[in-house]
Amino acid sequence: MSIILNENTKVLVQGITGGMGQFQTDEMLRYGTKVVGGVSPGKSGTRVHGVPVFDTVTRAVAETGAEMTILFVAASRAKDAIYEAVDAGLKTIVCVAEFMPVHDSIQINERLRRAGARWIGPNCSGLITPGKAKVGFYCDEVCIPGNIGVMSKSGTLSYAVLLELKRRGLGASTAVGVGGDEIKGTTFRDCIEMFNADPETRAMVLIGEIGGREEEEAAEYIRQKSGKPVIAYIAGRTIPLGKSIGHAGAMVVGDKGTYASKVKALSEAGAKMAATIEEIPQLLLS
Amino acid sequence: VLLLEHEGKKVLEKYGIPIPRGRLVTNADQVSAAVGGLAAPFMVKAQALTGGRGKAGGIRPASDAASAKTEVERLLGAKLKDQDVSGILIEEKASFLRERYMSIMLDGEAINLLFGKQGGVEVESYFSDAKDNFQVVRIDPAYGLGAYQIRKAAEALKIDVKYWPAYVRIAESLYSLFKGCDATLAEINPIVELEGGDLIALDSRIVVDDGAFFRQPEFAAIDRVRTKGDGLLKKMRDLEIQYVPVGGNIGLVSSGAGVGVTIMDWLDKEGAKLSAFVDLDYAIMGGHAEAGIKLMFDTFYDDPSIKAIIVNFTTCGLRLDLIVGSLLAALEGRSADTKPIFFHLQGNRAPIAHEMLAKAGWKVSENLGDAVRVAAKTVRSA
Repeated sequence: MSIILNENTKVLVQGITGGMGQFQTDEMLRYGTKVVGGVSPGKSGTRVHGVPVFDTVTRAVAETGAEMTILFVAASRAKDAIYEAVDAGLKTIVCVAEFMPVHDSIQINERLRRAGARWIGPNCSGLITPGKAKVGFYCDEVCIPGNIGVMSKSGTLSYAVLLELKRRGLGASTAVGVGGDEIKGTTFRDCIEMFNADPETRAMVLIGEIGGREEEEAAEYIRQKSGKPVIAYIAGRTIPLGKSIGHAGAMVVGDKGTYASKVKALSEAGAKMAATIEEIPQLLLS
Repeated sequence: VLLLEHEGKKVLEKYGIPIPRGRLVTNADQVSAAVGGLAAPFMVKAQALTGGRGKAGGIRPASDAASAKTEVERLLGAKLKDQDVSGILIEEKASFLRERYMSIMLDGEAINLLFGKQGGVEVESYFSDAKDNFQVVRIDPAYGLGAYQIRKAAEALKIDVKYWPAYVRIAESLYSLFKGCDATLAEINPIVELEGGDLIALDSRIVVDDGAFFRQPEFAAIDRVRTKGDGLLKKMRDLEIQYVPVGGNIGLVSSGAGVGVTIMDWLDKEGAKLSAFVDLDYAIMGGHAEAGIKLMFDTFYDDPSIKAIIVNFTTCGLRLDLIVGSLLAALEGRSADTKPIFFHLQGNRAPIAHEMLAKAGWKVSENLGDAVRVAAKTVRSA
């Protein structure tokens, strides 16, 4: 088992004919992801690494039975691409685009809530169910299959954490990059809910970052539901106050979203805090 | 991007929100011409990217053109709370009865209109203040702002009913502005009540979402001028390198926001500090991998205060073999003897990348922790 994605999930690639779309389609196919189709207006009838290309998402879904989509389109076009996917009935949408206007993210959340659909991102690294499938940037070299549910705002940091787990023989059931923006689709809280329900996940690793309230909301959820163990790590302890370093969402405004507030909320909820990423496998094994 | 008062006021005016008549000057000689069309007395307001300008002496009354000129001379070229004064706005002084506060801002995903009984105070104080001094009006993005919501808030704040129509008009305009400009904050502090029932905005503080620059060219241009910079920072920006100096003596060549921040935190724990946070993601994706990496090495090798360099690429989305190709080209003629370099590379096509580095004689750390610890130890003993 796993969450959101497995070896049978039929995946569509929107923006498949662009440089990034072509490269990532190849990477996903090599990994074993069932990429069933791609969309690129005006390019129907062509193929990318053997995958058929369609002009619209609706046509692609009708022809291929796709269940999930990943977008390789610029942030300026992401809202329309997501709306097109929802309109075609898709319920899981992965958006890696960075520099998404926050007003667009708010509207997307509204529309998807009404449609009963989920998006992961924006500004995220996608997800991987090791040994089975990946949708997004995760790669074979950093992770092995296992029973740890991993969720992270940062892509690169989650690769580093997965490597630490791998070094100690630990693998992931699914790793989800929730993205570095403050306003997003799938949150830590949503991931915890899904990992709690997944029989093959025994514990979770939450890789947070200063800024926003997502970790505090996850802590509140952990406190209310007595679920599986959570190990947490928060990046950004030494980012100077009010300075914007790294992700758009990683900025402390006033006394909101500080390192101290996140550590306090998570520890009080019963999560174990790791001071470095090396401590994460130690805490999982203890 | 945060707009200056005069830039923000132009936006308010465009959306139909009344502002005092005024002129911007950038040198004292422009004052007499600028005030020609204005009626005395004036307010002379230094334009700087900081709040609390009044208390810092940046906002001065002037009874006539001559005293306005004196104030302009005094304020130009000075700094306000460490921020440059980039111009002076001279406005007609408004005579008003009361000051209030109004803003629309994002709070997480919520769009809130804040309506305050007292203007002129810093917004933070509202959150700690008595609740009957301000109202938070939640705006549903699907249904927009209702006039009734403003009337309800005005009633709770005991605002004279004669001003209600004007407050409704301004709140609606402010919300149009908020959406139309992709703002994350649109604040009028203070908004003042005039004798007859009209309102006028005496200050503006508008923040536009940088992510929306592709459809906000006017604000993108303001940001470009403001962040032009010079010297090294300009070179970094031209190559799309994220470079934020933080003051230590370890140079970082790395891609990715999260892992860069983690290296910064981890070094701190080991008693060491980065010279700057560095993220080469955009440089690499933008096709400047080799030039970007070379600029980083040139910078660190030429700077005697840099005692060690960490090279970290933990990436799945970018190919490490291609990155190492650029790394080796940028390292041509460099050696670890002149400055210690610690490599950690993991992810997409790591085995090939490691082989390439080994062939060129560079040693790669087994894991990130080792690279961080050895680098920290090196600078502690330097």
